[in-house]
Amino acid sequence: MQLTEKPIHYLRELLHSGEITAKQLVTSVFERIDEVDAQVGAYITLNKEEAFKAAERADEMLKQGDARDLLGIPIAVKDNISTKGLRTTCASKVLENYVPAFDATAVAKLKEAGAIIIGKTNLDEFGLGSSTENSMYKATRNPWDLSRVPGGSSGGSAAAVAAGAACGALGSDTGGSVRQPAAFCGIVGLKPTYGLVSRYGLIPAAPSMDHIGPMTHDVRDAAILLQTIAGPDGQDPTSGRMQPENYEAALTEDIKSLVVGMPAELIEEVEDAEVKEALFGMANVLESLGATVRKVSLPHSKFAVACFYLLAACEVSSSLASLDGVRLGSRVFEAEDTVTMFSKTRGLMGKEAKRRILVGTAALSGQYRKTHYERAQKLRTLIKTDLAEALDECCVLLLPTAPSAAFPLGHKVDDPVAMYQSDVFTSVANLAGIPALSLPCGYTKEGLPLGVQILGRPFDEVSVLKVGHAFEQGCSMAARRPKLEVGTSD
Amino acid sequence: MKQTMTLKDIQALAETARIELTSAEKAVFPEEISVIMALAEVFDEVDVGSVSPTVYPLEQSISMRADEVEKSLPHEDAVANGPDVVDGYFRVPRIIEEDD
Repeated sequence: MQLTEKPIHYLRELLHSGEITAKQLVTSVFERIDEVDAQVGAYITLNKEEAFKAAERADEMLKQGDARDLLGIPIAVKDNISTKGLRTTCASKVLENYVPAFDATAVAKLKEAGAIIIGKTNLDEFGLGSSTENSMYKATRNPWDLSRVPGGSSGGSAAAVAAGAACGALGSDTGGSVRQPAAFCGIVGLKPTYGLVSRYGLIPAAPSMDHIGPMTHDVRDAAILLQTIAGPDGQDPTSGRMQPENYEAALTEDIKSLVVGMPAELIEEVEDAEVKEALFGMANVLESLGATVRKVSLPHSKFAVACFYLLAACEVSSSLASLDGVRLGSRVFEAEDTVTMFSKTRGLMGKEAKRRILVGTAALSGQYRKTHYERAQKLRTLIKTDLAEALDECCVLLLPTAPSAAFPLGHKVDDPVAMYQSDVFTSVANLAGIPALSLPCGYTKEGLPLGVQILGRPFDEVSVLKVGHAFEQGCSMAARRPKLEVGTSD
Repeated sequence: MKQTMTLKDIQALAETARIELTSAEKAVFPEEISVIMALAEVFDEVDVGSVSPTVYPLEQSISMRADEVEKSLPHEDAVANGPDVVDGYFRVPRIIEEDD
C-alpha cells in the first residue's frame, strides 16, 4: 500500500515521531496525483506551490514538538467550498475565474489544525448530481473501475481519497453527495447533523439541506476531521450551539446493549441482491458484537425522493439567482441590455443546473406553490417525525447508501429521474438534518465496493461513529484499496 | 394534478429565471420537467392539511452573533471578482434610456 493510501491517524504518528516529514508526504501525494489523475480526473485545480510552503512551515512546527492532529496532513477540498486565494469554480463555467477573498470556516479550521490544502476537487456543477458527470470541466472516473462513475456530487473528493491522491477530503452533501460517492469509491463519508459544521463559505445549493462533511479512508479519520471542522460559527446563523466533542476519543468497540433499527419500508425497496446481502451482513456483525437489531417503520419514507428533489429545486432556483454576471464570476458581454446579459450569462450553466432552476421556478409559481412546494415542506415534517420516533426506539438506524454499486459512465445521464433515485436511501437524512455515516460494507462479485449508512439522533455523532468503528474493527473492509493501473489510459 | 409542460411553459419559466436555453435543452425540457413535476403526484396519497411545514430541519432558534463592528474585507477585495469593475463599482449595460 502506498504511503498516501494510509489513514490520517497512521500518518499522524509517522509525522509526530519524525519518521517522515510533511514535505515528503506532500511530495508523495503530488507524485501520486501525477501518476493517476490523468485517468481519474479528481482535481480541477492544484495548490502545489502553496502546499509545499505549508509543508515547510509544518515541518518547522513538528520539529518544535507541535502535536496538532492534522499538522502536515494533505487534504483535498471540494470545489464548491471557498478557499482564500485559490480558484473555486463549483465545476461551473459561470465561476471559472472566481477566486474567493476568504476561507470557508471548515477550511479555516483545517488550516488552523495544520492541514495542507493540496487542491480543489471535481463535482457535479454546483453539487447538482449523483455521478460527477455534470461537471462543466470533465467527468471523474472511479478508481476501482475507470469505466464507472465515482458517484456524486463529491466524486472528485471520493476518487482522490480512494486513489491515494489525497489523505482525506472535504465534500458537501445535500441529498447524499458525500455518502454515495464514498460508497462507490470504497471510503468513509460522513454527513454531520445540520448545524454542527458551519456552512459559511460553502457555495449554497439548497441551504436547508447542505452540509460539509469529511471523506476518509476509515472511521477514525472521519472522527478526526469532524472534530476539527465542527463547532458554532457566528458567520452561519444556522450553525448550532453544540460544541464539538472529542469524537476520536469516544470511539470504542463496545456496542453491547445498543439497539440498531432496520427501516422496513426502505429496505423493501432494495432490489440489488448484493446490496441487500452486504446490509444484512453488517447487521449480523453488529449483532455478533452484542447489539440488538430490530425492524422499525418509516411510513412516509417512500415520499422522500420526490420531497427532496422538489424542495431542493426550489432552494437551488433561489440560491443560484445571485449568479447573474454582475458581482462575481463570468459575464457574457455580447448583450444589448442588462436582462439579456443576465440570461446569456446564466445560459453558461449546464443542463442539470438549468433543469433544476426551472423545476424550482415552476414549483414556486402559481398553483404549484401549494401542490408542490408547500406539500413537500409538510411531508418533510412527517418524514422527520418518522425518523425521530424510530430513533426514540433505537440508537442508530442502518440503510444501504445507494441502490447499487457504481454504475457505468453515461448510464443514467439522459434519465434525470433514474439518476435522482440514486438518493433514495440518503435524502431522508438531509430532510431531517440527522447525522449519517457511509462506510464500506462489502464488495460485488466484480470487486466494486458497496456502502452502508448508519443514521443517528441529532448531534449524536458519537454513536454513529462508534458503531461504524466497531463494524470496521470486526472486518477488514477499510483496509482494501483499488488496484489502479498506473500510467495507462483507456 | 398531472399537467404537461409545453415548450411555451418552459420558455416562460426560463424568462422568469433569466436563463437562456440551448435548442437541445428546449427539445427535451418540456418532457423531462413534466416528468419531474409529476413526482409530486404521490403527495396525493397523504392528507397533510394540518401538518406544519418544515423549513429548516432542526428546531432551534437562529443563533445570532453579537452586534459588534468587525473588520470587513477591503473594498478592493470585495469587488475583485466582478467581471466589469470601474472605480470600485460594478458596471452593467445601460438600464435607463438616454433622454434626448
